[in-house]
Amino acid sequence: MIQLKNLYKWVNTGGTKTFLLKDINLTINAGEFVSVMGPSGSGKSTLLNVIGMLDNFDEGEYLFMDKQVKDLKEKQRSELYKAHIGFVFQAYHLIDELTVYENIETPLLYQNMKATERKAIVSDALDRFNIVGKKDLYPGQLSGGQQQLVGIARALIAKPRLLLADEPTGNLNSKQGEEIMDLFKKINKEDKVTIIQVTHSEKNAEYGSRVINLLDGRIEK
Amino acid sequence: MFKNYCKIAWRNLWNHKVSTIINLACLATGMACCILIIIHITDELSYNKFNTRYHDIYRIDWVKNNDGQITNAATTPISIGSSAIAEIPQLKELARLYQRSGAFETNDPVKNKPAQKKFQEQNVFFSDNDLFSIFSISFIQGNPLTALRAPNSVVITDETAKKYFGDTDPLGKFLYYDNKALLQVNGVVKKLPANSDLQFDFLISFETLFSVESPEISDFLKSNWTFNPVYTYCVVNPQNRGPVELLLNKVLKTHGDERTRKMNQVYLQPLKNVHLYSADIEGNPSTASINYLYMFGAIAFLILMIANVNFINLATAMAGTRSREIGLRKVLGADKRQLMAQFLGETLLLTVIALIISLLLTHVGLPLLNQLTNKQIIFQSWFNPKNITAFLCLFCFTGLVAGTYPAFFITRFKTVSALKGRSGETNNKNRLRKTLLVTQFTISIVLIIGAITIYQQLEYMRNKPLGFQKEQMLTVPIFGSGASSIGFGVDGAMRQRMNAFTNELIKHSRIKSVTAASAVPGQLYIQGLVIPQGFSEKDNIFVPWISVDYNFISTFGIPLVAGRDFSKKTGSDHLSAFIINESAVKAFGWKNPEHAIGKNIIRGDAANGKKGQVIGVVKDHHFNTLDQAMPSLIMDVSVPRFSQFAISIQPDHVPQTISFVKQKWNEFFPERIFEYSFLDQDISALYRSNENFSKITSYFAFVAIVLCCLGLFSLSSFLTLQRTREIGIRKVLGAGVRRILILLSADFLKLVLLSLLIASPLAWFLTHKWLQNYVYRVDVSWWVFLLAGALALAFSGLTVVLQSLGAALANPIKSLKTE
Repeated sequence: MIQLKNLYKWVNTGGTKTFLLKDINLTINAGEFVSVMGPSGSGKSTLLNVIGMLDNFDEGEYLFMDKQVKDLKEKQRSELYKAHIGFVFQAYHLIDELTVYENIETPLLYQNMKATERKAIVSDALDRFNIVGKKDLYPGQLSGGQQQLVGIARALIAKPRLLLADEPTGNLNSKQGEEIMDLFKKINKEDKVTIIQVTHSEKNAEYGSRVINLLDGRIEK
Repeated sequence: MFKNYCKIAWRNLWNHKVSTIINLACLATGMACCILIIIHITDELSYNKFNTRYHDIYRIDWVKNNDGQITNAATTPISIGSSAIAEIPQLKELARLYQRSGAFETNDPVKNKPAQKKFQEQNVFFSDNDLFSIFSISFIQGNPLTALRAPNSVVITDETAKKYFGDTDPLGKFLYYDNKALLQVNGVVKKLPANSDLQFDFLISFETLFSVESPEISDFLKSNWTFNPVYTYCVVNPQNRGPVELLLNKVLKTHGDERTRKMNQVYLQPLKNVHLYSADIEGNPSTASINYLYMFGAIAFLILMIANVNFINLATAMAGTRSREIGLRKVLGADKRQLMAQFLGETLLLTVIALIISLLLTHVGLPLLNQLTNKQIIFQSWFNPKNITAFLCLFCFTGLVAGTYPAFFITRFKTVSALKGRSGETNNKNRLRKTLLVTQFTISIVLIIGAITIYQQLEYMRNKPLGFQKEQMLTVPIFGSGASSIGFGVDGAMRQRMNAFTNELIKHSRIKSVTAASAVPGQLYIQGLVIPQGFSEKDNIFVPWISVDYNFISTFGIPLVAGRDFSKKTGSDHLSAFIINESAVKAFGWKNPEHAIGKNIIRGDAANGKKGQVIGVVKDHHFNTLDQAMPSLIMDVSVPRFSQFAISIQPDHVPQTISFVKQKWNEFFPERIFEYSFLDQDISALYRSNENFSKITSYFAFVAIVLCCLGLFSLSSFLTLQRTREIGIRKVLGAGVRRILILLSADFLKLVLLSLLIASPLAWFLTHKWLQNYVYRVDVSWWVFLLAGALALAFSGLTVVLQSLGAALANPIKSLKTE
């Protein structure tokens, strides 16, 4: 599903290149649950952003579902991730002005889906994540765990093939964290969604099928 | 999708109440100003268009070439109309209008009962019957083809009919005009709409004029080719305009006397130019000018721009706080177009609300506009397709201008950094914001300087000593206000009654002096032909000429610089004495005032004119408005021309004095209506349009500066918010409140100073140009610029400092805790 070959990313600071990602070679197959680990500043989030096409890279190849990402235009790229990728963030990133229901519905709006269809899908999701009772609340009225649950429901609403999670449990206590990780595992197993998560915690990393360690922008072998 | 946008837009507006309210206030005010001005402009543009023959109606205008000094007049001699219709085949319809005010009373000749209703009327015209086929005048009663054909017939408006006859049928009833002619009502027409330059209450058949005026004057009117008292309207196919103009001038050359051939010309003035392009034509019914419309339009546009700039600045400043949402939406699959649509949608929603508020404001502001423009526009009647279109354009324009840039700006954010809450604000952006702020303040400062200068000029004109006494001077028209200025109405019997009246008045302790004249300062002085010694009739010298009573000069306190005043004692002053002013001495080429005494003058033509000598010279005084130079003046004692009393009274107990005068008037002139006015008020009324113009600019300048400051207020509050962390750090590092205030305000105040630098030359240029319209004017003084700058600085400084104070006083621990 994802192939990275000799991928580099750098920024220029005062004439010298600082490498954020260095010679990354990575293949992730459909259905995998990969955890990316490493100390702060090792390039975990950058790698996730590159995979999620939110950020560019400077050199190398990136094949997403056999398409050269570098050759795609902005618009095609956005079409691609709109259809296939869901994001979950450490800080939840829910839209404060929208209710739970509306937050979950938003990705569908951008896919120009009919209102009745949207309603059915969102109701399903609310059901599935057990948050029907909270659908009219605003993010500010929920606990962190509940907010992240909404975040995950929103990430999955458009039925993506790949879920990218940047420290999804970083702001949660351990019990909430466990629940979220269990949920990830279930999604991976039952829905066959490929998951790549960035995490600091060994324990969370073990939920995945494979661990990738990053240090100073390189994959540690 | 659309519903979703609306929902989000609404919640966003609701969540940022302060900035929403400020945005709404600015946009609504800007739009209300625009709507008011659009109402005014569309109304001005609609003038006379109700006439179905709008494009074919022309007025014959009169050109006077007085020794190279060319004056255009809207009125012509009576004779040209009658000759033209007879001799020019292309002219089928032509109407002359001779305005002559007078008293009207209901009168039944059969029963000969005393008059029940009697009023002095101004809007009275002697008219040809063709008027009804030229202009679209709709008859309620009577026949438009014959209504004014018979002598002594009168056509009145529905309003006038109500005033005189109540609910009874006016047709066939009689009205007694000015104690002179019994007129029969031959038609009732609908009063012309307010946007018509032609306005009348009474139309009297033209031939009746010659039976109303004395035979002497009638002959003069019929045969004279220099005196131009009538409006002459005709219908010409626009293609024939050139040929008809040639033929009209040919008529003038064939029939006119030698002077006319030499000095005068005629041309056709299209009706469509009468309202907005003829303000400088003497006697034109409209003083409106297209230039003022352009100026108002520009001001409206500028104010709307200021409001829009506020919106843009605020929206882009706020974008920082919304960058996370934008990044997130991008991640969730929104493309640029969809985000643009969302932000434009928010702006449009705001604009709709602003538009509704602005309509309310318009409703409130319309009476003020009416007062300033002397109109009676009703809010409801303003909804017509043309205005609605203008108003939709305004709405779209505002929404798009205000919304497009922020939408572009916001959707350009890089997704990843936006998610981290950074707006990616660059210097580039700051430069735009600064440019916009400077533009706003430049506009406001120019408006402030303009408003102050206009006010100064007005005050100057109000207070400038005019060279005669205008205070506590009561004027009482003898033949009713607005009476014909050619006079010759005072006969021997009348003069005796006037003298008796005067003698009775001066017995009163609070009446200082009573005099009479053909006109008083501030009124139009008739230009009379004058042949001073050393010149001939061929030189065609025309000079403003008034006829005054013996004590006129002393009553008005006009200083004599040489010779003597008129005196009854010599017994011949009314036959052969003239007093001129200093300008006339110069104009006639005489060395000095003393030299002028005893020089011969003929007032009139060489054969029939009044021959006499200069007996005195008075100091120049401003009998004209101050936008004109002080011209020459000639005075004589010519009793028949007298048209009004001027009564100098004590400043105390004025109402009692007036009622005394009224009581005496009714005793001596029972058949006439008593009217009076104060000279100083009449004179300041001449400046009313200037005054209104001054008010309008001050209002707009005020609105502009308030809008600027509102914008600055919200902008600085947002920028201060953004810098909370920086301020916290600075405070921890030991910065005091004062330094932080300076830090936060300095940037803005520098911009205001820069605006002052840009605005000053611009304002100087504009005001200097405007002041050229006045012969007597103030200088644009440096302190006005300082004052305008100080005002702008004070307003903006106060706004910014108040905003920053909160931030500067806040406890740094709090601000540093965020994140």
